[in-house]
Amino acid sequence: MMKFVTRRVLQAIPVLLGVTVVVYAILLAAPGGPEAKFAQNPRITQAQKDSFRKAWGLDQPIPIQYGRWMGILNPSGEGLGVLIGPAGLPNFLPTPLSGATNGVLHGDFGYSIDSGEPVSNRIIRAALPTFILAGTALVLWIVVAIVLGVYAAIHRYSLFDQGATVFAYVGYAMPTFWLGIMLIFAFSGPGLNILPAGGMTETRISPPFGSPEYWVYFGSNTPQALGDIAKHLVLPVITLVVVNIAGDSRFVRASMLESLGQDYVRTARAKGLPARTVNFKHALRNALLPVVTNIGLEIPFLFTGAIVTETIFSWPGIGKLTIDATRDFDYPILMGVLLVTSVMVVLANLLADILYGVIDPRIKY
Amino acid sequence: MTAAAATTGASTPHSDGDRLLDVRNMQTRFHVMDGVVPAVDGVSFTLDRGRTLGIVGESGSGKSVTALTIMRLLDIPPAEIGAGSEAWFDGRDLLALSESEMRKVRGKDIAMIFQEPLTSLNPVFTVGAQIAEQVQTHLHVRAREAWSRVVEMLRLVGIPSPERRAKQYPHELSGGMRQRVMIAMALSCEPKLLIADEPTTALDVTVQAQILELLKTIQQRTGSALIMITHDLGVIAETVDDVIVMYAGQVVEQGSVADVLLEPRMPYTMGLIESIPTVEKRGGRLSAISGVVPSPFHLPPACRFEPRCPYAWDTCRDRMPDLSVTRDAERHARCHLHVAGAASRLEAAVSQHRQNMRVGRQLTDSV
Amino acid sequence: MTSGATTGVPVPAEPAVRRRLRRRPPEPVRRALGQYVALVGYYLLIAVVLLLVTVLGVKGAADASARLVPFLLAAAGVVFVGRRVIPTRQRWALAVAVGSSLAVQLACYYILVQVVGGGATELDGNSAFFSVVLAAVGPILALPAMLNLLRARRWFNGERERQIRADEIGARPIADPLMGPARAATAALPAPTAAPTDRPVAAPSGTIEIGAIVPLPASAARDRSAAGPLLAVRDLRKHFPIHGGVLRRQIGTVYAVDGVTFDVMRGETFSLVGESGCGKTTLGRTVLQLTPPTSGRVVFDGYELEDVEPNDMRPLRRRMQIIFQDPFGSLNPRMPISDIIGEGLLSQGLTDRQARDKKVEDSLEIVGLRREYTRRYPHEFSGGQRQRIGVARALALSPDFIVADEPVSALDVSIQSQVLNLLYDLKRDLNLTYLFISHNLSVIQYFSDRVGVMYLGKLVEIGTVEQLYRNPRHPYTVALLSAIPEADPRRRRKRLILKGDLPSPAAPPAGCRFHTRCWLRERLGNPENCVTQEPEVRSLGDTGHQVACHWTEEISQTTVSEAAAESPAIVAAAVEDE
Ligand SMILES: Nc1ncnc2c1ncn2[C@@H]1O[C@H](COP(=O)(O)OP(=O)(O)OP(=O)(O)O)[C@@H](O)[C@H]1O
Ligand SMILES: Nc1ncnc2c1ncn2[C@@H]1O[C@H](COP(=O)(O)OP(=O)(O)OP(=O)(O)O)[C@@H](O)[C@H]1O
Ligand code: SF4
Ligand code: SF4
Ligand SMILES: [Mg+2]
Ligand SMILES: [Mg+2]
Repeated sequence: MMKFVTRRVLQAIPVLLGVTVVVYAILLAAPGGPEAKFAQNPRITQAQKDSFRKAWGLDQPIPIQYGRWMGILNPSGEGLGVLIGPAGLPNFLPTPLSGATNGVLHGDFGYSIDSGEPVSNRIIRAALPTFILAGTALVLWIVVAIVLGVYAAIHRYSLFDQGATVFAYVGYAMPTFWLGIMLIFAFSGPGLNILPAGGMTETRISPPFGSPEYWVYFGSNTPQALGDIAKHLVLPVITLVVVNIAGDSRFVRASMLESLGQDYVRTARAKGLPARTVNFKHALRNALLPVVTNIGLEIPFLFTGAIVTETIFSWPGIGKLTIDATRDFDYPILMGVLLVTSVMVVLANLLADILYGVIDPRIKY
Repeated sequence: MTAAAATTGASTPHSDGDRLLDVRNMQTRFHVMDGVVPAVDGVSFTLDRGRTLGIVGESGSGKSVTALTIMRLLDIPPAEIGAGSEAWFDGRDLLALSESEMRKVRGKDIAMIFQEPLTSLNPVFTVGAQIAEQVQTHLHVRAREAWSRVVEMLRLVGIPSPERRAKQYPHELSGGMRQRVMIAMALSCEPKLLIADEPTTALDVTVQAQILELLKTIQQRTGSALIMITHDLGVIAETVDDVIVMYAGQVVEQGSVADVLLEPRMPYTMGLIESIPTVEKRGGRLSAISGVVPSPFHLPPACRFEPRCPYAWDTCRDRMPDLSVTRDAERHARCHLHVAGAASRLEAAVSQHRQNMRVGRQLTDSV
Repeated sequence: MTSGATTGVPVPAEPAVRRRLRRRPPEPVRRALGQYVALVGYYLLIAVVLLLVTVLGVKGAADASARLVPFLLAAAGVVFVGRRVIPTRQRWALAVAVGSSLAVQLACYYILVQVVGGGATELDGNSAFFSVVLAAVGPILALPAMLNLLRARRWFNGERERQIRADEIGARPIADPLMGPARAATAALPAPTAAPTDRPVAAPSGTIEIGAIVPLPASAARDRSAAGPLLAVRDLRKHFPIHGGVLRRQIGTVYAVDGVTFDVMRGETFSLVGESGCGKTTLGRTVLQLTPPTSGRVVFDGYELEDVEPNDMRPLRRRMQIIFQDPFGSLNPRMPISDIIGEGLLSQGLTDRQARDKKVEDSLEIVGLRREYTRRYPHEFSGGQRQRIGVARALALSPDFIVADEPVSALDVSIQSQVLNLLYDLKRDLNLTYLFISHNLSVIQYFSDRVGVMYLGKLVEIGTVEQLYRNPRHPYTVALLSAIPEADPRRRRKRLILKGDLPSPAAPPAGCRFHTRCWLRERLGNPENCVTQEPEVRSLGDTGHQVACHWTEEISQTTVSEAAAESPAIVAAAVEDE
């Protein structure tokens, strides 16, 4: 098992490296740059723009920029000396050896061009709301999809099954942004104003989420603060999971039906076991095997889906951070977010594989 | 009804108290997209306690469906059991029991072994757990006692170090061992009737010999009755007392193994036996049954074997033959050759069969 | 065998073959050749992409193309020359090929250093970046190609490959100095008896007709006198690696076929029998070179198959066809019958649609199907009909040798006999030679002339049907025959039942592979040589009967019936348990 995990992590490293190289190249090769925000400002001279680019190292060729960001190259070196760190050893070695402190390899994700804050601070600040949103969505998604799918499979062709089918088709066909806007319209519009349209907290009563004042407030009014967040969660979570539930409940149903048709289910019935045992012990456990893999593969889409959802509901999470950073050409933030989400994708897949091994004894790692 | 005649007409040497299973006019249909499949069409037979019965027939002839109907394991719909069907087991009509009563019969009074030992065991539970589950359901014992029963059963079916094997998963066992586990599971609650649906078809010949020997020995030891379903006449000859031959959902011949295999009285059975390759037939063509099994949607109107039958004549195209007692008594055949006026045709068929069994060259001839 | 085997329709005439046969270069060279092609393709592709980007007017692309395209074309040229000279097998060719690879790599590294160092180039950032990427890929392909060539440096011995004139094929063997003339090749092979037996085969008393040498049937004798075997297999091995562990390294080997030697005579049906997983299918496929053997020789009609250049295999491949076991899985469900059968004809160069259809219809007719069926799809046929289509596909190419891999195992008895009759008639009329694979001993007994019994990748006994079924000389054969369920209730008898299952071919038992289940060894008080020493295949007299068992003389009526009588009612499921 440890071996398997080690192997998977080792395999992931080149993949992650490759992803950063490609994305970095594409990002920086795209026309425009952070200086675009000065474009309409006649008082900024070309010289000022150039010195702005130079200050952020944007005047360097892409490989050099990438090398610096990664921590392979020393930003203050000359010629081939860029490869050598301050301590005289290659720059990419760990800090105690090379003396280098720049770049991802040395734990430095750089600074936001927009706000000058360290990238890691901004990502950490945005991560918590996203985790709250995506985590709730994930739990809801898995539970509802499995319950719906299993029930529909056991009572195949019943009214419930047909209703679930209709829901699945409708849910699957609805674009996320459209669904979000419709939900806002329905539940926080002029007519039925019962749920907040956006944000994570009620700005009138609590300080902005994540700020130190908020935590003071949270400590003194915990139940109230939690209720507030829950109320704000409802619409974004629904927006986020409807598509997934629609798709996966079908998938669970199909998988369960297949499992119910297997010889071992017939054996279980021939043994005289009660229907409950046959369905939920023998059939369900086997039916979940493909579902686990599928969910593992879909988790990344939960995060990409969160980009749209967070924008619609102005949820202060990673998705919103990404959109803002894209608008401002804030390369360090974008690269930081990308690296973090890539790592999470790898971890989610690894988790799914491990889980698979736990429920299927035939898989040995 | 035709089949009822067969049942009442059969004079068994046993009194009714010995009768374990009495299937009468069983009809099972499947409603599928293209129409209705009459998979089992008026099957009747009886089985006494401790006896063995073979059901033989080609693929699709309705052998498995017969067994699954008795066990009530078919999904309804698409399956439908005909109104007049009865399956009396130990004084009760299985087809009339409620689902919860039937559940108490399955696994306890009637147990079943399936063809594919790998797919018939649940891959995610240990074999011991799967047997223990059944023991606990029916014998209402505690987990520890159930487990000792599991070990005992595994030992009985010849699995070495059963304590260790019981904790293994099906994929860790070989094909022969999995089938032994299935047998152990089936026998764990001492059923009165064991139905084995092609138990050795997926196994190698040396392992098949082991399993057949095991089934025979255990069946004798425990005294349970056995229904052996197979398409292999060799397996039938090895293991059972009586045999019924099925064709296109109907019983076409019925009798003791020696009678049916040595002196078949129905052209299909004759053809089946003739097409087995043997030493005697070396060097010549086999006498094959021409044509293929009819599609269940386009069954011939009268005798279902008529399109392939070398002895068919007008009557065969007009009327469906009954499963009637042949002149040798004790046996039944569904064929017009046995009506009073067809004696000469029957003679011809029988002598042709004898000759077909000898075609080809004897081994020593070539020397 | 009736006289049909030799009378019957004459073999279809050989079409003129317009190919030349060359020997196949060894594995590393073949790989290097492929890598060179990939390298050339890579450089050309990049050049084209660069030019395309330039035309589209992407910033900095013009600059990059101006610098890189000449370099790329030059590199492609150098590598191409290197590739072209390899087949000459000259020493200088090795130098040129390796040198070109080396030059290209050095050039790539040079670019890399230039660009990264940032000094000597004025390329702007983006073009520089892309040149780094493409410069880095070149060596990745070129280095292994060079290493492969160096590994095979001995092959460059200055001897030019002799090319054989087309009209020599079929009539005469490949006249290669290494291979020798065909008949000679067969003759020079060690006889199927791997080792001469120094132990005289005594006829123990009280045996079942032991020593009573059953004379060969007249027709078989005649066949054998015809010009040598059609197929000669010598010490053939096929091992499959098992991968696993952290780095997907090889952690074991499946010895699927492990040293098999036999001959198949012209017009003969040679059968292979054995339990599932003993390697029958693998052997059949390896004989046809559908999978390359690990080692050993297959000589078909005088041609050393392994040495034939793949392109030149085609005319030979036509003569050797296979019928697959699964009548449902082996036909592409989306192809009409005309294409399924015509595919092979097309690949043999029969491009004329009408001629092809004619041939397809002819072969359908031969197997007893209607000519109109060509437009239908496989799902419209029953199992027996599909198997006939499989036979028709093989026959369309007028082969003279057919590997029939369990052709009737998936069929019902009544259909099985139809297909067996068909195969029987075809053999008689077309003078075919079969390698017939089955696990059904009754079918084999009915259908074949000679039989090889396989156990765990090895042949343990070879003999005519008469020898094998009346006088089995290997304990495994005895048990196998005893296990056949007999459809005749009069012949019910006490069986000799083997313990346990077939051991895994990945870990075959030491010494005699059968020793874990051998009843004879048990009866003899577990003699040591069964475990320590692998029994060699030896001939029993000059009857052609061969067996691989140290104690074959101990098999007799009495030992067999005693062993049967003593076998317990419930035989253990496994033997290796603690
Ligand atoms: N669930 C089902 N739905 C529809 N048709 C079915 C179903 N099960 C069986 N049948 C049909 O019923 C007929 C009898 O099938 P059955 O499985 O009893 O044959 P069998 O004699 O057991 O054959 P085999 O030797 O292949 O097991 C076949 O025509 C089959 O197609
Ligand atoms: N491509 C492959 N890779 C790895 N192992 C293989 C491969 N093909 C076959 N084997 C193994 O080689 C052994 C021999 O297989 P083969 O299919 O030749 O047996 P067989 O005698 O034809 O059996 P069967 O009667 O089941 O068809 C088996 O253990 C099989 O698992
Ligand atoms: S009734 Fe007629 S067609 Fe049917 S099996 Fe008898 S002889 Fe043949
Ligand atoms: S060599 Fe020994 S173990 Fe092998 S078959 Fe002969 S007696 Fe048995
Ligand atoms: Mg069946
Ligand atoms: Mg095979």
